[in-house]
Amino acid sequence: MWTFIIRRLLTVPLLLIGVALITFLLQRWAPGDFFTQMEMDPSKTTADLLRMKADAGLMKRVSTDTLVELSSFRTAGSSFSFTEQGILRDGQPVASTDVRTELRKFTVGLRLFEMDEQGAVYREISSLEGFGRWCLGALRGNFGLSFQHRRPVFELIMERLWNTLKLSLAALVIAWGLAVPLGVLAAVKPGSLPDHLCGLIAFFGLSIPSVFFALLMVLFASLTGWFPIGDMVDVVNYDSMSLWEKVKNQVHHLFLPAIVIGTGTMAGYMRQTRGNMVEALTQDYVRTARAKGLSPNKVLFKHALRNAINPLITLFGYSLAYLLTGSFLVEVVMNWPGMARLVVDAIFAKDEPIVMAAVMVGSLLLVLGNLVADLLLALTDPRVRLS
Amino acid sequence: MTNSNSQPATPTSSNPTQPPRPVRGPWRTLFLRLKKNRIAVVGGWILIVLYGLSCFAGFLSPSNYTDGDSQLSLYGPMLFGGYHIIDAVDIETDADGNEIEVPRVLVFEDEYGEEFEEAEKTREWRHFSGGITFTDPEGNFTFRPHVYALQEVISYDEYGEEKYLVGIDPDVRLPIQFFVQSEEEHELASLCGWFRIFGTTHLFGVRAPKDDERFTNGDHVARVFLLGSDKSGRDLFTRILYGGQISLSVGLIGIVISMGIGLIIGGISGYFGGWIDVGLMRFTELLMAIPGLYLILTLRNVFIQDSMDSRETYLWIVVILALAGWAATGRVIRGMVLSLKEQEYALSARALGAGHTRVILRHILPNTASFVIVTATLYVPYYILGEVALSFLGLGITEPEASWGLLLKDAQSSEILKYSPWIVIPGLFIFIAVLAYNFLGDGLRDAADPRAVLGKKG
Repeated sequence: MWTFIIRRLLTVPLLLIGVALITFLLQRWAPGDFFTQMEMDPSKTTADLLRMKADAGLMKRVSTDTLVELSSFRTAGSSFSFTEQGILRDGQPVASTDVRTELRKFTVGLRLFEMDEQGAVYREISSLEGFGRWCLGALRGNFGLSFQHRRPVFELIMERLWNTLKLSLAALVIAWGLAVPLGVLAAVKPGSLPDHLCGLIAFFGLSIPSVFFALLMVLFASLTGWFPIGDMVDVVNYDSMSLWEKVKNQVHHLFLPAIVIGTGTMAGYMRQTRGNMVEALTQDYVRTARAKGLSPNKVLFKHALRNAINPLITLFGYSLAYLLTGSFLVEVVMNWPGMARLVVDAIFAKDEPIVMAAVMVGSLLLVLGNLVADLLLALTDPRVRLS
Repeated sequence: MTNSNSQPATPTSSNPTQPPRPVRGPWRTLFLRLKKNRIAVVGGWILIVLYGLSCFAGFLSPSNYTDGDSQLSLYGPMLFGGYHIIDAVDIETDADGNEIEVPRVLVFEDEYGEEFEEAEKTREWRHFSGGITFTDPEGNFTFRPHVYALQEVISYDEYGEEKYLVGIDPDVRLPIQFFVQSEEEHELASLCGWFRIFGTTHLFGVRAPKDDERFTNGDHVARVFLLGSDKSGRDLFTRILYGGQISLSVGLIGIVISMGIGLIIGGISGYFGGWIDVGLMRFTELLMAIPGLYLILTLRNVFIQDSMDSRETYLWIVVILALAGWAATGRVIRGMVLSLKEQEYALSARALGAGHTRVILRHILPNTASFVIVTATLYVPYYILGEVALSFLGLGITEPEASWGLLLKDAQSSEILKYSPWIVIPGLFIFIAVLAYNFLGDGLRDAADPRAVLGKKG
């Protein structure tokens, strides 16, 4: 058991590095970057742009020594070389301002160089080098600065992470709180009216697209005015509220999004509960318990449910894995200030550090959730041996 | 496996007068078992109808899917009613305490300084009135459905600002005609936007009378908006039908590609084992460790550029969804292949000198077929929803094309949603499609499971 845990835990960092590498490379392969838009902006000089790119870790200032080591290269129809004194074009010394357009961007070997107005040369940081830098930073807990917000990514993510978790946990409570009782109810008499109703609810919950459901709820809220739309709290009055009112306000805002996510996930759990219960109720030990004259409730909850709960515990572990990403679209539709908005905006703007950090947090939760699911299964079911 | 159809049946009955029952092949058995499941059959029929609707979108729809008119923006669904233009009234209490309606009158000054009064107009939605009607222009009952002509009325609000109200003209009714010829050629039918057939016929529609000058000078408009119009004044019903072409086919093509990759990778991995297996499986684990939507969004940035045309974008969406989704099926297929390759028939095929490719393709993969079909049916909704998510976020199909996700995008503004709730109708179609796939998939799973007792769930 312990060796299993340790082995699985050891694979977690490897998986995470792999995930980080894939995400990083995918982002670098995507054409253009955060600064592409700015290149069109006439108010930004090349020098500003290159300095920003250097700050963002996309380019690096090259010292004169390194440039001299490049020896001569051909670009724009002439051969150039850098010396201690300046730039030579076809062997003739020229001022850096004269060759500004010719040497604005040039490649030597496979490496891209860019020169700004003042003659400062920057070189592109290759994907693998960039990834190495990112890894070193991440190991020290430094996920970089967001390009858009110019704030540490870690801070940004932590702010939003808690909001998303709050929503997901509320949805989780709703989902499990409804799934188990309804599943048991449906299983007691298969084929009865409650069973059919639960089956209907399950199909409904499994099939309704979260976007559509969320939109319907927003419509409902705006038509009745019973629930607030968007945001987590009443932005205007929240600060002046008493503690009790604050809690009430938060729950009020949380209710609809949590219902939307909860119903969607509840359906699957309910089906599983029902299936397990139906199976458990046909087992010999249940018949024995009934034959001994135990009350139906005792048979149901003490004998059948306890045996039916095992696969559910595993499922619970898996549901932890989707805490962060399961609410994605609902957050966007219902304007919840969670991770989803941040990530969508970051993807739009190609804000690399945020995307990296968000994917990392999401993957970590996914991997750990799966691990917890396996462990829970082993803990509750003595027939499962982990090795 | 499928050869058993043609083999002569061995008679099991001892009664020689009764002809032996033919042995059913596995597919026939699956189909017969599926047919007993009423819900699955319903699901299947719904899907046939939905795919049919989208294939013949051009023919079935009353207008072209890009035909918009900003004046007709967000007009309500004519199936359920219409906008009436009425005089605005304020409710006041008179001296006796009764509530009376007082027309809201605005006072303006004309250019000579003379004051004049004008009643403020407003528009009111009435259910089941002003929409599709069964009265002809003379006011008699007919079986031919009619719609009212739409007109634009200019009125002023309390600040003197002009406001434009689009509503029905209760005096002008136009018959809905069948097999209307349009002036421009448009698509009649297509398979997911390919193999298009062009023509000029619409199944139904309204035509503005040519000699009526109210229509020729633009005061009146003849349009039929069964399910309302969108933000740009395009017919939502038409756009839903066309949107189905994209949204429904993404699921089918996506699942074929993804199952294909899953079968190849899973087959190779399970059959050859060893380092290939370890390498491929670690890779699938990696892919599965990235949250699905994040992976889809990141891949989207790599493959889709804003400069691409709609057809290219569509293809890349399918590829992206397939790339993000094959890993799970690949792993299951690997597991199946792992056990199947030890079966006697696979070993004997090898012993008879069949090559690896032949054993994998002819002996092992066909035995995963029922799993593949069941999983494929159950997974199609994820691809449909994936496209919906991408387009909804503005990262997938773009205007002026239509897809169900893109149509829902307009509903993101709660202002539009509140006053034009029909804008969420495309979501209903997504829901129905996903529900139908779940019905069918569940039925298929039960039918393919030899242990399942049919007719009783659980």
